[in-house]
Amino acid sequence: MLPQGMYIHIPFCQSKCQYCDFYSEPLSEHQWLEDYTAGLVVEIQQRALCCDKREISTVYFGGGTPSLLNPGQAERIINAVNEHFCLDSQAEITMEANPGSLDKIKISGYRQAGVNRISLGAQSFDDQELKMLGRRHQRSEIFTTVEELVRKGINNYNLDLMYGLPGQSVSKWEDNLDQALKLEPAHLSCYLLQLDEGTPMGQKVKSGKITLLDEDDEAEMYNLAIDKCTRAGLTQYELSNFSRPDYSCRHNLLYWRSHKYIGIGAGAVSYIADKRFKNSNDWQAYISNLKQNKLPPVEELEHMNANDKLAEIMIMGLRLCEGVNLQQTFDRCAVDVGEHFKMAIQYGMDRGWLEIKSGNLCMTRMAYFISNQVLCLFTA
Amino acid sequence: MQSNIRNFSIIAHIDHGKSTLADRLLQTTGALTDREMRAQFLDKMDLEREKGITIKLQPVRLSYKAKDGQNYILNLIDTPGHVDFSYEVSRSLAACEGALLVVDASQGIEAQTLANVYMAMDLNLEIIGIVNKIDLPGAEPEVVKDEMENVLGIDRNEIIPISAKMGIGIEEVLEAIVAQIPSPAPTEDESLAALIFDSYFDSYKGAICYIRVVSGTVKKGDMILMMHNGKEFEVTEIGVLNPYMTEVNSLSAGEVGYLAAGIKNVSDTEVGDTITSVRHPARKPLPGYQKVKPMVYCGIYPLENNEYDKLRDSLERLKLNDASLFYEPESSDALGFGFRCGFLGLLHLEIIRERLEREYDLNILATAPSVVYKIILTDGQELYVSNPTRWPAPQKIHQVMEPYVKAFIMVPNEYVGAVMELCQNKRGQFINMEYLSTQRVMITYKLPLAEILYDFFDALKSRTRGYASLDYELTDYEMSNLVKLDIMLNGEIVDALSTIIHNDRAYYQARAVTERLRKIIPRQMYEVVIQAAIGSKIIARETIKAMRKDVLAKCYGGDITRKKKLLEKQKEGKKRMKQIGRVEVPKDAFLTVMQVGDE
Repeated sequence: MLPQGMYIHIPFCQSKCQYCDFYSEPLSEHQWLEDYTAGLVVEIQQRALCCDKREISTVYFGGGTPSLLNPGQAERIINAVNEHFCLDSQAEITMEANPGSLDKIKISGYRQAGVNRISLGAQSFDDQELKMLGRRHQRSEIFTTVEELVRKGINNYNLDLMYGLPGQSVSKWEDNLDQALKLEPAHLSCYLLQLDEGTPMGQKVKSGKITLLDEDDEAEMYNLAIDKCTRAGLTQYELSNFSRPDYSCRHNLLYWRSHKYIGIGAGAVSYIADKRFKNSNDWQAYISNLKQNKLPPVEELEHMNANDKLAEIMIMGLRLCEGVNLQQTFDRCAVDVGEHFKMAIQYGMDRGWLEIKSGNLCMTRMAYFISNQVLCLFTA
Repeated sequence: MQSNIRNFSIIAHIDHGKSTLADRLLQTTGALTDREMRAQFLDKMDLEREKGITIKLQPVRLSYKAKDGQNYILNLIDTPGHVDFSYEVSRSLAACEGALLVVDASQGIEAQTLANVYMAMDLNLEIIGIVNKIDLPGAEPEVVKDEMENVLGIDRNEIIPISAKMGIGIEEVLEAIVAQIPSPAPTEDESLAALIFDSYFDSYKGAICYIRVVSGTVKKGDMILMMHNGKEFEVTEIGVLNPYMTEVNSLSAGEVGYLAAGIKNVSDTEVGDTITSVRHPARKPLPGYQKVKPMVYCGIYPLENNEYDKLRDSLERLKLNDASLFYEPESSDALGFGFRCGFLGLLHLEIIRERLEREYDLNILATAPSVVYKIILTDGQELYVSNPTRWPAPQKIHQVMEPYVKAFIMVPNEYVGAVMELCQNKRGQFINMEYLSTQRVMITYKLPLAEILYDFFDALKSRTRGYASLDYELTDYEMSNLVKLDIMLNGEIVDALSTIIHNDRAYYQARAVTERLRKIIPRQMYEVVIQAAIGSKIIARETIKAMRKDVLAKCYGGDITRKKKLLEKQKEGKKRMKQIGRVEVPKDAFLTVMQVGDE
């Protein structure tokens, strides 16, 4: 049986970061969270009714800032999942959190509620950089938060880091990496800053107020991350993700392996029954709809045919260092990947970007940072 | 009744209102009802409408009851307004006894118009001067009349002011056609001689010829002979266009119409050829015939090699309707299999290229256009080369010659300096300068055809704020110090990027071309070195740094759809690239080698 995940979107933030293009609203009243939680619980219940597969192996609270939820709210949501779906007893339950928004009470509360993984948006260990990004926390808060997590027994935590920030030097990035690795996180995500034009920072780049780095520097930073993480015992398993053995993010693996997921909450995206669809962003409408036991309006993003699905398996799967298993894909789609994507594979192999390792088609390290060049050839 | 026939053309510059006037004539004489009136009925193809020019001519027969109470048959033979098609224009004019010269009241006479009027005068046509667009705020009909009188000797008092758009003066034009244009001259010879002034291919009837009968009569069932072409056919249908095809029993001396004879190939119906009867052939063909020769060549390649057959079929179909299109298979090391295509000029090239892409849905790549060079080898052998790839090794060349044109440029006098500078930059030799009026000048230059091929007209327009008009006629081949400039990508010559340039400007051009290529070729996985060389000597070099980043750093559940779309778009972009060795070259790069302006 293929695994299925649940994503729960908390669309509130205390303030919006300069680079963020996710849907979120500034949280001005705490009552909203209470109402919203109630809405989530009803949606979970309603969605369970129309779901043919109820097994859930991962739950992921993303946002926004999900750590704005108090432990009681988190518990009610997780309980609802447990009650209306079949939540695996070993399920990975991740909560995204800002370093400043977690204290020891919250941490033990979350833990009590079932959260067993924390993804910490550290982003940088430099206060100036944090300020530029519009983050609310400071470097010192990362340390205190991590310390608290470890003390409360949450060893499975991730740190998000960003590189390629305007003005950032390679050695500055190295310094950030060193500080992160010194904390010995189970998981580390290193994201190149890529700006959407609609974000405040994207606008500044467009108007020339700030300049992004030269791609040679960005590539150097990327390679540095891979080298340093590997040396520190973190294995790269996806283009931007590193982990200790057995600590890869199981929820995100679902995305990269093109498995199903149910998105709960305003603006959340689901992928079930060949369709990818998105709940409406309007959180107020979301709450009022669910008060009347009505599911929020959805927007269908994609209705995928066999070819589309195959393309997605490749595009997403090749992001993983393990690549795509040819036999499993054949079993899943009854298509010979080697034949179906003959041209693309040949193109990639000719350039040393693709290789076949023990039955898996995967990208070579030299292809990672230019992966669009080869991934685009697998589109439907 | 031959005496009641009037055959005439309209000569006008682009946008001076030729098609609008033609439509008005159709409407006023009742050939088209208002309901059928579609703006510019005679221009048929979308491309013509878009470019605002008439490419194909469609003759039309009008019935007009004049003020003298008699009924007249007016045959309007439309003409294309572009230098590429001047031979076709000449044959259309040869089918007429008169021409309407239409000049925009705010623009004055343009070079192309002048060339066509001279052509009409050479053919002894009666010219009726018309000043159009008199309703526009900027109209200066009196100034334009002066110009027409000074330059062409047309009596200013006989020039008719009109507004085709508003329908002003149309009756006067019709009356002038009847009164001033002579009816077709009677001939003593009874043998059939009919001039083909255009033809096109109809999938049911075969090639359709538009003809002007000069002597004799032609009817259905006649056996006819194409005098230059030498082939014989049996007439299956004859008729007139009023404006729709209408069958008639016969066409006699002086009449204009169409003829079908089960002709499978338009190249058997050459413009300018004479149709005669097999049984009573004319003693000699009508004068003025020329074999159509392409002036400009370029390579056309499918971007995807597997579209070669489709490209061949498409060219074949275009050729059905366009006898002046030439093509033959060729292959390039860089581009694979394609075709060397010959055209009457750049506009013709552009039209064919666009039709291949739009109507035949092909993704094609065109190499830089080239003229036909004449090379005399050291062993005395003479060679014509239209493809730089076929250029002989320098040590085998004794002499190189290139085609020259005589270019006529008309401009307001304040731009004389700018125009002369441009012509000088393009290796021009000044011939003379004439004042058309106190404000307007005609400058005549001798220029290499190759220099005016690509962006000369654009440069001319931009230097004269759009006021200049240009016409040219081919003169002859002249000796020139030309060399082949090769472009190398990562050390390998890309044959399709080679061009022939003048030795004196080789360094400048080489630098300009390599720089342009550096800008247009995207970063690749490897560093790309662009070099320009003459023979084995490298004279310019540019480097494109290797691409280091092309990645979607984050890709999770919520944004998969959007990220996939980005990748799909990127794949589309790749399709517009041609893989040469390991370098992906955008298809536009092949034209940039020509785009070395005079900046």
